[in-house]
Amino acid sequence: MQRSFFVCTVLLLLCAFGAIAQEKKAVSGTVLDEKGSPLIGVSVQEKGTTNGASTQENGKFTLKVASNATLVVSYIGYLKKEVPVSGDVLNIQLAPDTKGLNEVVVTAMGIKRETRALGYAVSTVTSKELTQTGSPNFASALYGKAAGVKVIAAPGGASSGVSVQVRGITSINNSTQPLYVVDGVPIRNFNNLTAPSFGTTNNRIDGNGAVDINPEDIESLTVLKGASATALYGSEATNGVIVITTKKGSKARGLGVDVNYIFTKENLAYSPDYQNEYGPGYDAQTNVVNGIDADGDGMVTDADGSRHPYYRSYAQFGPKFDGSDIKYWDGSTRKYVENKNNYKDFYQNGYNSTANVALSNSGDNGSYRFSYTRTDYKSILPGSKLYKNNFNFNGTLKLGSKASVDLVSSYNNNFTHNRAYTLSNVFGSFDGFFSRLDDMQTYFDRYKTTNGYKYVANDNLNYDQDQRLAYRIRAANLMDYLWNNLRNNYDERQNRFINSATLNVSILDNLRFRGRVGGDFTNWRAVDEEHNTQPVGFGYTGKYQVEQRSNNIFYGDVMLTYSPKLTADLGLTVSGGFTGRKQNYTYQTSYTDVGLASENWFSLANSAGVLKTSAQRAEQIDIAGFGILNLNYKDFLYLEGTARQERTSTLPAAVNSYFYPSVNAGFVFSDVFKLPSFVNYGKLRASYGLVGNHPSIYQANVGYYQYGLAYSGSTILYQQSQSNSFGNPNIQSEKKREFELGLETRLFDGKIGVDFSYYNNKVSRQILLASTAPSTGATSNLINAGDLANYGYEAAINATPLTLKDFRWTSRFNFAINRNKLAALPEGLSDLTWNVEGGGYLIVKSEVGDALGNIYVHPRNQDANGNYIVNGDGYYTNNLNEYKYVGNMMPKIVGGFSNTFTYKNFSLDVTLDYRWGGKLVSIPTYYQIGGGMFESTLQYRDAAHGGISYNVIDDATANYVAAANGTRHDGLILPGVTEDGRANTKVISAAGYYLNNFNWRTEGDYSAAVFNNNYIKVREIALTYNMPKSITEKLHFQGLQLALIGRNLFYLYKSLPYGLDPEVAVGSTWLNQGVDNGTVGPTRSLGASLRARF
Amino acid sequence: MKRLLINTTILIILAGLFASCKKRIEDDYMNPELTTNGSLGKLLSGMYMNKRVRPSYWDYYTFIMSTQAPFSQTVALQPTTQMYIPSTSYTQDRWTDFYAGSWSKDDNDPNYYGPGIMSTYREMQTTFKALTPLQQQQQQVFMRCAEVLLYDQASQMIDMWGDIPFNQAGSLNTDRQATGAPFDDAATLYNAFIANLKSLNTYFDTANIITSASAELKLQDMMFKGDLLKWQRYTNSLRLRLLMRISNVSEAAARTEVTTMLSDPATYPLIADNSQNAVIKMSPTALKSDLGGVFSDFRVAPAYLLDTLMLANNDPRTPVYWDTNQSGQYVGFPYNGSSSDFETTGKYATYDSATFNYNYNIPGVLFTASEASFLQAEAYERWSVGSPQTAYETGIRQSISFYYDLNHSVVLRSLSWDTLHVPQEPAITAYLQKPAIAYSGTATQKLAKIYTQKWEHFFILQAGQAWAELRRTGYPALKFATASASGATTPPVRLLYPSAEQLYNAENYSKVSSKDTRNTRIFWDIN
Repeated sequence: MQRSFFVCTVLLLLCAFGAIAQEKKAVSGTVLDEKGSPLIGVSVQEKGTTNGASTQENGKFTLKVASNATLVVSYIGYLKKEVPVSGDVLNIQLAPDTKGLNEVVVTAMGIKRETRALGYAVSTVTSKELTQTGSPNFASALYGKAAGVKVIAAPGGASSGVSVQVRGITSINNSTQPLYVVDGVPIRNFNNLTAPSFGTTNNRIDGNGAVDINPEDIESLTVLKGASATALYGSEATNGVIVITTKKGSKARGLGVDVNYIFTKENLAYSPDYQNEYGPGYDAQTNVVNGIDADGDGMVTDADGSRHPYYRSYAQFGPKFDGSDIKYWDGSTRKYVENKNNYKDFYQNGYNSTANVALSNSGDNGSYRFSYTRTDYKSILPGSKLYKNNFNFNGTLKLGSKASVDLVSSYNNNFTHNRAYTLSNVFGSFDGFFSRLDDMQTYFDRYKTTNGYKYVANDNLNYDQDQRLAYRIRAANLMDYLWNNLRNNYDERQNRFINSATLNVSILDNLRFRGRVGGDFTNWRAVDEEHNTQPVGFGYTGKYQVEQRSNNIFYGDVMLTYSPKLTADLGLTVSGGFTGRKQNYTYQTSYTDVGLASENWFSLANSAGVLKTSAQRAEQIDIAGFGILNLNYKDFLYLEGTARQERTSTLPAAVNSYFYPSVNAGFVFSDVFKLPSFVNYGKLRASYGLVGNHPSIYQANVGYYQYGLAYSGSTILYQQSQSNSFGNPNIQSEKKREFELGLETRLFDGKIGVDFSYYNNKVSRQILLASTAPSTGATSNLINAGDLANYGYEAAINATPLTLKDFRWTSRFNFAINRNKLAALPEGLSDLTWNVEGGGYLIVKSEVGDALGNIYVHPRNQDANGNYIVNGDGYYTNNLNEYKYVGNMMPKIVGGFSNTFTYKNFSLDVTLDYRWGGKLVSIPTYYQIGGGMFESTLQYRDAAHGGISYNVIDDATANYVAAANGTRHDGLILPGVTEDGRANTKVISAAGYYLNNFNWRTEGDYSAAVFNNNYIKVREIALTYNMPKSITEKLHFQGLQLALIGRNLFYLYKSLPYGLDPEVAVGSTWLNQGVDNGTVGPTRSLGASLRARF
Repeated sequence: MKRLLINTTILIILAGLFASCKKRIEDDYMNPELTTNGSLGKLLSGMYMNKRVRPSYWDYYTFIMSTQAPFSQTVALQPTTQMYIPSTSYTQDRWTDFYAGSWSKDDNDPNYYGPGIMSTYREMQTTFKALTPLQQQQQQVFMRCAEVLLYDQASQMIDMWGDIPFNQAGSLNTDRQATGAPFDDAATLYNAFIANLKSLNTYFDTANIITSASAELKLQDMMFKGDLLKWQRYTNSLRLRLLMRISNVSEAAARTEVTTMLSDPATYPLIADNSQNAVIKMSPTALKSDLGGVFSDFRVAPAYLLDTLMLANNDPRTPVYWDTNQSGQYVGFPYNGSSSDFETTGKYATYDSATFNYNYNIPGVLFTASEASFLQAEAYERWSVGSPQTAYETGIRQSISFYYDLNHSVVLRSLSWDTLHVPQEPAITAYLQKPAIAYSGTATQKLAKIYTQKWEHFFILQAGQAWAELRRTGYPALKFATASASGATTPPVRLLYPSAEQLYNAENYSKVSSKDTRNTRIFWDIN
């Protein structure tokens, strides 16, 4: 296969030299707009060549062309026009393009194509859409703007990773993130070459490489979705490709300066629906049995007569707030009242400030643009902030008439202080639960002592005894959180260079060469300074760690393109080339062990134990040869075929080479058939392609880790087998084949445009790190585990519903529907199961034929008639041998809806995005229900909330008897039957109900942790005012724009209860996106922007 | 034409580059930080680095002090609703550490990570199989030492779970494919271990090791430095433990084998002295016990052990086990004490700061002379083959000296304490004469004293053995508070199989699922 590929390529390129040189003649002319005014910077090209010119100040151009040439005249916002060269002087008038037909998009390998000629779907997003509301990175600005592109920005703000998913899930376990290509160079998206996903590291929310791309420098962004569109990228392409082109100097403008400033305030958007009536405490039975309080009322009386609720309780079933005097856990006497805003008080006010200056110019010898952007960001999380400096240079240098060089260089410098820390230990652990009684300021005051040590817990008798907490508290993890993020420093510094140089040569009129070299180099350092938590006399604590990581990508490609003139009706372009990429990754860390010997001296020389170090390295090489064949018949039928032969180092030698072909066709039927007059344009597309996804580096290796150990005066080396992620020497690359059909139309003079696609794909040989029984020797094993199939529909509709004299309303709506299913599993594997909540209490499982993301929990025990069985204590129990289906995580439909209203110089942009269908699993929410946190848990707690009255026979055995005028009113009887079939009459307390029914494992009903996740969100609003020319000219501006902006504003609808945010999930894998493990409060940003052009 | 030539040349160069990359690409396949050359000696050392064999923070915190020790009352348990429901994540970790071990790419901190027992043994088998017959003969000793360790650890697994995957476990380590292993019958496995340990005794007795192998063993064998007589003693002592463990359910068989062993100490030497103990000592620079965090959270002395057994009888071990409370008294937390009392800071005695809390040098204890003596005492008492009193008193004396040795070998994390004086003979004699300690009374009372002393000796260092023997013998006669969680009011008699095994070894699990309850007794537990 490989040899024949070479032969073909060689032959094909040899053909190229058969082109015949033609005689030239000079033409000149003027290009005018529809009103007859000259247009500057219009591209005038000889058809089928790179030979071209631009119009000057007066709209004039001159050019030497072949005698029978046709000129292609194009300009942004105008319809492209083809003019046969008839005389020496031409006057060309362009008509405005109200239909947007001549859009040019950058496709795979950086090849520019007209949208019209494409046989597959792409989505493009403009610079304005990316920057309008000051999104801290371009990826989170994509929400709802491209059909079939699902964006999930992790909470935590500017430093947090943004996951982008194109057309559903194509890999169960491998990377699901698209390939990002910036100015032709595939850039790094993952921090660690050996781990193609991101989530959290040491509880801090990871970033990803794509967020470093500065939105202010992006000219255009194209999403290549289907396999045929991306096939030229082979093994990187299963998840789609995002092609980014940065801004260049514009010839039309000459020397120009842009100054932009954006400031937004970021605040906590929503708080959970907490109840505000009851303080901390357990049920009466627990109080009595565990000797917390003999009378079971939940208020503990000390020897000195002071009273207090039981601060160790994670649950909120203590006494009702009554304003009486109690002793607080800091020792002060306070009123027993709720602190309604203590959740909100935990967060701070954040902001995002972005300043950008860009300088651009253009002349006969080339053009350039230089820009600098400074971003300052403060998170709503206490202690987290960052800044970024971005420099970008984009220049084109003409080397005579035949050749030019493009240089693009960007430098990114980041500083991140205490990257956003997940709150899983606060909301996902009982040891983080604070109560409604708690005053957040006390936590902020007491997390460290006045001497700078960690808070002195009540049972800590070692130091700063005057500051010892008066009682044992529950929310120790909250104190630890503040200690980690306010006292300690985790500082990351990153320097990243992305460079590319591209040489374009027109060897002959119809033969072009392009060569490109590029690199993406990241150097990242972090220091971790953890202060001593206690005086060293009581033992060494604290830590100092330095980390260093480098990620280098070297990339190169060469391509020859031959476009002979076959006949007047038939156009042909043939390209062939090679591409290669080498990725290197190194990581090194050194850290103090045992603790810091001298207090708070952060130096590796200050390690109390033997200094520890570790290092990792990785190198990956991928090379490929590729060929492209394009046919164009009369500009209404377009055919394309591509091929790529690839070899990668991440697979064993026997199976490391793959071939990825694709074909596609576009048929502009509106040019062929007579259609009703309201149809301005219609095109059908069809494509088919094969792409792949290989295992990440070293994943398939089987071997031993070896460690050295100083022991008894000698060094002992010991070996360890792979106890997780066991390799597989027989692994093969994943293979995706995709078929796609599409329809594009424009109706009613372009007032309505529809772009519709249907796709159907199957990814076979899914590479999966399958969980295995530990008794096999490892907890997971890399396997090729069956096939995953997706199909879906996506559509983008744009319309101009209303155009009046000064008013215009344009609207863009898109949706994407994706369905997937597990199509096959290898022999011996009956299902794929993920144990989401340990102990198997909540699992995600798919058998063949199922969609991914089916959620199961243990069902309640029921009798033959379907009645719930109640045990002797009055509670429901679980049937641990069974599972019941409670829903699927995958959204049924996602999309966006944007509207722009312009009135004179004002314009209002409103962007909505939505998601419908699919569940979210939130274990922290479930625990908080069990802990009586939410308003809904007030039910049954008193007569007003539906509690029944009962008398207490004995609290220790929870022996309660219903009585009309009983002493307590927080009872309930669960509907159901006893084990021997009689109707249940056992009274239980409300607190007992919540604590048991929503318990951690045991008899807990985990279906209560699964929620419908539907929402419609007003993502962005921008109200923009463009200063009229009359004013700006006086001020010597070319343009001045002011805008009020808002991001992540509010939900028009959401189905999640308890104040839970639809976007709480962290991580790039599909499973992580369906599971909330306790993250960070959602934010809302409001601010203003100023854009000026000189 | 010239241009054609140039372009063709470029093309050929590119094609050449493409081909030369091929070799480089193949070389880049393998992780440079990984080795494919297994070494029997290095793998054997790995077994000692298993985090359940040597003391690790994770094992003590999440398992010993929260499951085994409270269920056998060698640590006081704060009353909570779910105090008798072990965390299934932590019990799964315990299970996984036997079969697979755990590993982290960032930092293989021995407090949290280490090789597995079964997986390492299987990798040794795989490595061994690839050797030439001559090499196999020369290196067999590594396999035999590993086998003893495997049986010791596997029997502890059986003591917690009952039937376990054994004979076909570790398929990834042998044929590199994950194949579910059946759960083998617990009693059958015990019998197989007992039989194999007998032939291992013969092997260690007669083995002739070539110099190169013995030099390597001396280095890699962190426990015995290649001393095969010590291996022989450990092998026999372990066999004695297993035989006594099944002696209630298969008394005749156990009695015959034990009698044969005990009446021929020349053929079946046992661990007879603390210097022969199977313990993995720490090397405080790199391999240290780092349990401070454990003893600051699990600190409180239980009343039966401290008040009833030790303090009331003036036990010489009291100061080496415990620190007094804030008022200078030895007071343990009663089994039915209240949560608020438990939380009253400074009210109860705590684990000795020097010996436990601040000590970097707590060894991994596999077998001690004291246990061997108590096992002999029990056999002598039940089957009249020797002097139970001598063995019993020897066991106590060995225990006292073991714990004082521990105190004298401390490597302190920080702070300092005076070294405790070894108890003088009169104090030990007086202790041995206390009515509750003296070897007197009915046969049942005598056995109860043997069991109780052995339990005290196991303490938290061998909490697994303490829990197993408590279930087998019923002594000491402990009382447990009643928890309010329905269905879990008392400690379980076994652990539940971990969910990873239920979910991913489902077919084999289904055959034992009916036995998978907290009330199913281990086969030797007929008490």
